[in-house]
Amino acid sequence: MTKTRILVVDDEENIRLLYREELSEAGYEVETAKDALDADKKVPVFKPDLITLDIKMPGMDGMEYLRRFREKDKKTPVILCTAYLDYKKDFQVWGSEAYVVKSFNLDHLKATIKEVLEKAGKIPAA
Amino acid sequence: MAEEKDVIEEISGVSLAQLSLDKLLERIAGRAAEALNAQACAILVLDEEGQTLSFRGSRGFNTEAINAVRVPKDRGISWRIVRDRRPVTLLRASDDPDYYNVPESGEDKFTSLLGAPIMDGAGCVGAMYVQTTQPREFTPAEIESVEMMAGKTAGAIRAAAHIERLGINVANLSALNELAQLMRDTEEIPLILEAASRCAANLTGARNQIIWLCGENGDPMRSHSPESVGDAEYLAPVRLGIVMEAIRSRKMINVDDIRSGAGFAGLERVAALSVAVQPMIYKDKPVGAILLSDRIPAAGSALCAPFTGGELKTLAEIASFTAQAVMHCREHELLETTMERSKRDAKELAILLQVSVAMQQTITLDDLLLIILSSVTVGSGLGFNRAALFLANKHSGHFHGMLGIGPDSGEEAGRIWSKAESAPPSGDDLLKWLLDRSNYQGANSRFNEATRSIRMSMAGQNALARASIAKTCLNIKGRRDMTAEDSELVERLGCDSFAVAPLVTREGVQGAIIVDNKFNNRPITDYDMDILTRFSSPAAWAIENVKLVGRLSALNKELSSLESHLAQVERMSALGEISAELAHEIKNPLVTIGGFARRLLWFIPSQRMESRYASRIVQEVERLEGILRSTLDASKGISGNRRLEDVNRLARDVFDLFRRAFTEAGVESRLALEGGLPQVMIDSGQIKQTLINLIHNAMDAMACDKHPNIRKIFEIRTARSGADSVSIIISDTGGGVTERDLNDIFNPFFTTKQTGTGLGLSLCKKIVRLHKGTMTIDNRLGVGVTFTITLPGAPPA
Repeated sequence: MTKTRILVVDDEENIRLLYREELSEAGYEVETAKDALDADKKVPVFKPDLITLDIKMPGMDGMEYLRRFREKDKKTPVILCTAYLDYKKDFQVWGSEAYVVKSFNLDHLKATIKEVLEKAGKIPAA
Repeated sequence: MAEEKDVIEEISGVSLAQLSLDKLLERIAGRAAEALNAQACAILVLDEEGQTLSFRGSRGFNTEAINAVRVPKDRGISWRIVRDRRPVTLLRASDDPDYYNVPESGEDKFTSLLGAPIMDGAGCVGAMYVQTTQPREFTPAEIESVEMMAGKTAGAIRAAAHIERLGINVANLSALNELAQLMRDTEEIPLILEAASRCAANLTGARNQIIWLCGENGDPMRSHSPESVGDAEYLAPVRLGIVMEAIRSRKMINVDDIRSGAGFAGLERVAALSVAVQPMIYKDKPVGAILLSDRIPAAGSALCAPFTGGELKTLAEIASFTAQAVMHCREHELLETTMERSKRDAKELAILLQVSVAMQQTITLDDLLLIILSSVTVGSGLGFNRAALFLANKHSGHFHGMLGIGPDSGEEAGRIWSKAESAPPSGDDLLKWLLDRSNYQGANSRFNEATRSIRMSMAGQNALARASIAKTCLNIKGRRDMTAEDSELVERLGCDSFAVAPLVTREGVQGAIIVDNKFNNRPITDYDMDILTRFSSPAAWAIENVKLVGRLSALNKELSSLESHLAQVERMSALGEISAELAHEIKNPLVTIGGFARRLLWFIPSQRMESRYASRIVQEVERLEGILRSTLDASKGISGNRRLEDVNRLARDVFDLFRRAFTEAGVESRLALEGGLPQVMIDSGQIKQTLINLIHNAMDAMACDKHPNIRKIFEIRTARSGADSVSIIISDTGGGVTERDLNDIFNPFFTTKQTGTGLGLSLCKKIVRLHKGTMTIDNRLGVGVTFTITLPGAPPA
């Protein structure tokens, strides 16, 4: 059985590490990218089933990347994952499926990922 | 014959004697009568101008007649003698058609007459005649005799008359000089006329002297006259007749005998027989006329006689002096009035200037209105009794009464005016003086109240509207000048005549001023209106200036308040930004720390010490995340996640968090929870955070050992508040907060603590407020602080 692939885009190394550990443990195959540019390189190669996207990144920020990504790919679900509370209201406008406020407790994130994947039909509903 | 020759010799001799003319003629008359054996002899002397024959010498006639009787020109036999230069004999003088009867002379008893002209080579100087009581035919020798006598007399008469004339002239001249002097020194016309008439009486012997003066239109109007003659009305026909004619013709009119029908009506009213009127002309303009009637005979008899040429000349001189003096007087009066007017104008202009300057300097509208009105009412400057000022309100479309200045009663007015008699000071003191209301207003001004109660439409028919629409001052003198709308104005202000000055600038109508003279009832003159008009323009501009300044100043204030508001918002938003920035910066590390700590917990068996360490880390990270969350929420005002909560549980949770800390700090801690409290709709995270902040504050307060003797007690209490609210009460014994610090503790940037975010209390307050609750502080200096958070209970589900 192939694992569902998740691309984690975040500029913080420790966050990437933590997410990789946690999500791997949860049974996903995890790839990480450190900024928009890196993500652009990794996406066509890794072909993720879902992307978690940080907003505040050096260079191109998450929103801009999302917009561009959506121009090419409308199907792959994206979860905005950020420290900011601001955008909570507008996430749907930006073309993402969910908006998660970062916390050290990743349970909420994991639950959201599961939900989104089920909705997208990428994993069978439990 | 020889007798007659003797007489002639004697006459010659007599002639040479330096006798006065009267004495001389008396002698001659006596001698002549004797020589001809006649009962009477009369010598009449012609005056220099050939105007009258005066009865100068006599034998046998009444002595009162001498010098008193004058025969008017061409009247009587004597004149015939003089005119024809031929002797005359008459058997009965009274039969002669030329006979001029003067009964007072006593001639009625004489019958025949022989007369001859007194003349010599140089001309005729008079006539003399002898008269007999019995009829007598005179012989040619007698006629010749008389002729010769007359001839000889001529020289003597001429010489003596000359001397006499000189004397009279000298006397006249000095009298006229005196008159001229008097007139120069007198500035009052009545005195001038008095002097003129006295002089005329003295020099001409006139019985009556009446003087008329022309008014401005040239009509002789006023008269100066002795009371015996009668008043101006009575003399009207005289004035309208002979006086007007004399003035018109610019020539003297002399009526020797009014009985001869000279053609002028009313002369009998001056009770005269002879009247002379001399017009007074100065620089070709008629000044008036002097009328003299009947000279007074020296002996005071009732005889009247015409004026001699000399006397008429004297009259002309007097008239000329008088005309000049009167005109000078009038010019002087005019000059004085003009100077007075100029002085007054100059003073008023000075006040206007000072007031204008004052008006430019004044900043507040109230002061300006006061200055404007006080200038208008002040003493001798503009001096109206009362003044009221109205400002125009374009929004309401009405004039609103703003300020009224003036006494409330006549008595008060009197008191104020006598105090303000002295002119207002100049320079810098003027402003102060003008602003000092007590100078022209009573203590409790009903007038001011009445003014302020008035509201008049700007578009109506009332006086204020009319004046401002027409942009001119109006002088309302009485009911006739008012309209129906004015009746309210009149009633409230209590005046029935007033003036209105509109205050208009390019920008439009600023207002209007009403002034009146209620107490001294002085009518408002054109001059007053003039001043008012000149004054209202700068007043209007000053008001507009002040309003602009006021608006500017208000805008300025608004601007600076906006600025400070903006600054505050910016601070707060900066705070928000910082928070967001900070939050982001902090969050990520927190996620890392907490995340890995959690994994440690996962992997390390719980009884191990490392596990407990990891647990602590997780706990603290949780707390930090909570702080961040509520900080961000609070500074953005987001309501967060509200759920029905039980405050007691909340309080207990928070209390438990600090249990260990209390013990370690030696603080006696108490938890007192009231049961049965309603639930509250709150974001537990935020409220918890608030409580945690307060506890931290309490702990810090008790930690510093300001009051070492006081027991450290900390208490959390919950209680019902009112019908459906809940209170959480947190108190400590940390010694309280100083007055100064009390003001600051709610300041977001203030902190007395080394640790802590410093955002503490202000955000706590905000959180509570957002929950529609209240937070109060009870600070007891020296004891401690108690915070009370009251939250509204949620309606039961």
